[in-house]
Amino acid sequence: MAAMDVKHMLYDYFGYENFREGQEEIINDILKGHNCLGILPTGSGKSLCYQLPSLLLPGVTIVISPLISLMIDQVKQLKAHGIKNVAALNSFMDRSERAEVFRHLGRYNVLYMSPEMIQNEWVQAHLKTITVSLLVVDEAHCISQWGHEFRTDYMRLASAIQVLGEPTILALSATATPDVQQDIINQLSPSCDMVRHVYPMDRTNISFAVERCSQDEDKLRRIRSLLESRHVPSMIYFSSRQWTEQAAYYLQEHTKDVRISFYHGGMEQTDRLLVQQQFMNNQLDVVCCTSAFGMGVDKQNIRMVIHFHVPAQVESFIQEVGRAGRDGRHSVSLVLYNDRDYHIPARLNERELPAIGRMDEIFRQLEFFMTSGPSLPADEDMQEALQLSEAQWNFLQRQLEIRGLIAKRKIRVHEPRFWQAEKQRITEFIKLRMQYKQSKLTEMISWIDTSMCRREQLFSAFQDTIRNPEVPCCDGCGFCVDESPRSPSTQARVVSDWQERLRRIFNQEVTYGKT
Amino acid sequence: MKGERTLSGLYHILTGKRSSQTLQDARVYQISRYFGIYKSLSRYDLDRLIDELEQEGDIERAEGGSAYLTTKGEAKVEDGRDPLPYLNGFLLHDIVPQFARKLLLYIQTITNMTRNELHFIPIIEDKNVQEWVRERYDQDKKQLQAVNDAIFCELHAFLTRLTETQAHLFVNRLSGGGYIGKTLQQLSDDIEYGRHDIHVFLHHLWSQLYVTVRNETAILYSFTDDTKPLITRSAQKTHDLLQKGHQLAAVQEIRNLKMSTIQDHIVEMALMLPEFDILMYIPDSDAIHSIAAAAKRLETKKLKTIHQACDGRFDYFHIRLVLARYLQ
Ligand SMILES: Nc1ncnc2c1ncn2[C@@H]1O[C@H](COP(=O)(O)OP(=O)(O)OP(=O)(O)O)[C@@H](O)[C@H]1O
Ligand SMILES: [Mg+2]
Ligand SMILES: [Zn+2]
Repeated sequence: MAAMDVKHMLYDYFGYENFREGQEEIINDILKGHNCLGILPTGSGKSLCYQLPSLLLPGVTIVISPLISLMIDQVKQLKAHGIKNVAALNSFMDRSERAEVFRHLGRYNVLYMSPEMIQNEWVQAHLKTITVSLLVVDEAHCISQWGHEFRTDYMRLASAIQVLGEPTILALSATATPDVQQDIINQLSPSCDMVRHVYPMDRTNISFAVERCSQDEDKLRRIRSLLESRHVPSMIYFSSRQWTEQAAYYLQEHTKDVRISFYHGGMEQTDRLLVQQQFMNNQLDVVCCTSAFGMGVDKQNIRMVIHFHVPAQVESFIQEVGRAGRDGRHSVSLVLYNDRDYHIPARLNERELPAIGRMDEIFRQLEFFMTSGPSLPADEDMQEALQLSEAQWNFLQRQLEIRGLIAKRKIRVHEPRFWQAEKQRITEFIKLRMQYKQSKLTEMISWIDTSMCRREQLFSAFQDTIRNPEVPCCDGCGFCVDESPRSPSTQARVVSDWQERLRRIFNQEVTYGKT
Repeated sequence: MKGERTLSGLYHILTGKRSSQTLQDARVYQISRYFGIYKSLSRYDLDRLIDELEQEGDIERAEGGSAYLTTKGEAKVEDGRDPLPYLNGFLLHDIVPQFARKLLLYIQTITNMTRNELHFIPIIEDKNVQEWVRERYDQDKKQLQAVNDAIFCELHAFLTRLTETQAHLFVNRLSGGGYIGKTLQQLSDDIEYGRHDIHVFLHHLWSQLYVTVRNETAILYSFTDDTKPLITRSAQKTHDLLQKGHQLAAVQEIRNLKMSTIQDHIVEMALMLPEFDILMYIPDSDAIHSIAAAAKRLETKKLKTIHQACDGRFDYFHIRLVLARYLQ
């Protein structure tokens, strides 16, 4: 494929004149059949690195993606671009929808899948009947970052790839340290023949700042004054659903001419879609959200990402901040921090793992189930009986499964002494995970506490040198949020009259004008 | 449900869970109209709503998970006036939302296409609906602008018959022509009703539109499912007997039902079937005029108030009939 052709396709299918940094190099390598590791900053256009080749390669491109919402968004975007032969396979589809996809498997250019899905034997049997040219692992840091814990299926990807007849592999991430990068290569390509395309991950158009607040009310007041003076599209991250709603109400009440809504995982599907679309469509200025509104959000002109609560690790923070300034223009990350906030992510961490002090008691209960039947009760009943959160039970169940004590709900080992032995090992493992999570949190907090250059500290774990930002760097280097971009309150007129809104929807003014 | 059925039963009715007990409940308690009108309601939210009513003193919980109206609550139910006359969950709980989804997506599609806006993200994710709209769009391709304008006119005509608030809700929920529709929460902020009320209001508006277009030859008719009847099977039987020329009393005898049930059927026909002639069931045409005038003058639909205003000349059945036909 000549370079000119690839560029034509870029324009014809995606409407872009030029490649962004890294894209052309990766695409050319893929087309030559080289396995690649692509490390590119958030919002830099990693998806294009496989979407374009998928149109040229003879077989199907399979994309492994960790979040269903992310897959669905990408499918919608591709379809909106006029690329129709795409689908997302996930466990939320019902049987007939899934069967529909399998009926035309070979026809697809791009097929998105969860890592669980590609392990499924039935799915694999179908995949064997077609040619898979390219296998993409998106958000590839999942293999290492939490693959050992919740994403065991990401770990097992390597064996699934064998089944596919060794397609070209492309692993993509925006948040992978050199260790994690190596880990990805080791796992996906045992012969280590991956070409590394590693670009600096720091975003040169984002300014960073942290402000300390002694009360939550101070945070809200600060946000309120920023929203009123800046008038820029913004996202505000919170740690809980309840907070997003409360803060949205407060800000609606106390600001003028700013259109604010909230978004979290507990909302109805339609309403989630509407809020996201309103935001994309500039009908909303501000979204108060949880981390559920993050990956996959690809709005070009977000100017400000505020963290009302900090996430539990730097990687999540970089992902979330990565929503800002995707059009390359000056944007700001602001963290509002209160020393007591430390406890929020710490508590969330704890809620994900069973407490070590309860392991004896939990295993006594398990022993009871083990002796009273061939299978464990349903998940909800187990949670209830063992007094574990959903995440905690998922974790424990996975551990029991990996260690061969159970298979799904069926009990495979009936001798108590084996269970006792594994109890020790699982407890050790929990300790390790706790320490790991704790150290991630400490890293996040020490970033907040630093008085040096924030950009340097944030990205130093990922790369050797930090580029010169095109915008004021950070508060450590003298930046103040009050100097951040503002837009001249281009308040879109709010149409409150239903007659007028209906006319506009159906484009009636124009027709009336003509006749 | 007069404290004889549990809140779980109520929940199953609202969410449309088809167990035989639910169906029986729905029939016995004359609440079949509410069947399945709120599929996405969570049990948690229902319990919170019940809590609120209890705190207000409108209902009281009884043992065994049931609840009943207090005298205060009964007074609020406004002497039998029906604020949601077009709800017909038992017949239409699946059909109306399907109609709404088709039309919503079609409106989004056509208003974008007529502007040459080819890239948009469909607001309805249901695959079957998307397929339906795609086919429909292909058929209409050659006359998009005309169809666009016709839908506008029909909707406009329908909406001007509603209250301002109702029209506001309906229009602001639509997506298309550069607008994305509002969420339930945002609509609820607009008119200061709870999110759940908004859901029910919208469902009711779509039901009303459905019934309206089913009875008119119109472009919107083609979005409905005209193989499905508009009145319940029981009302249909009453209807057929009346068509054959039987008197009310005879129908009651043949069907072996209470007179009030037969009257319910006739009110249902008055509402749902515009060609159904109500004059036969009303003392004289002057009655229509008097009842309508009283309702307008007093700006009320309360049966008792209208009854008194007309010096007790007409009974509740007559008033309900006139309201159903002329004043919804
Ligand atoms: N060559 C290009 N020219 C202009 N815009 C581009 C180009 N390539 C991609 N884009 C746009 O950049 C935006 C971000 O792309 P994409 O979602 O692939 O980012 P990403 O690298 O996957 O980010 P994240 O790490 O946040 O997932 C998209 O809106 C995409 O259309
Ligand atoms: Mg991406
Ligand atoms: Zn700096």
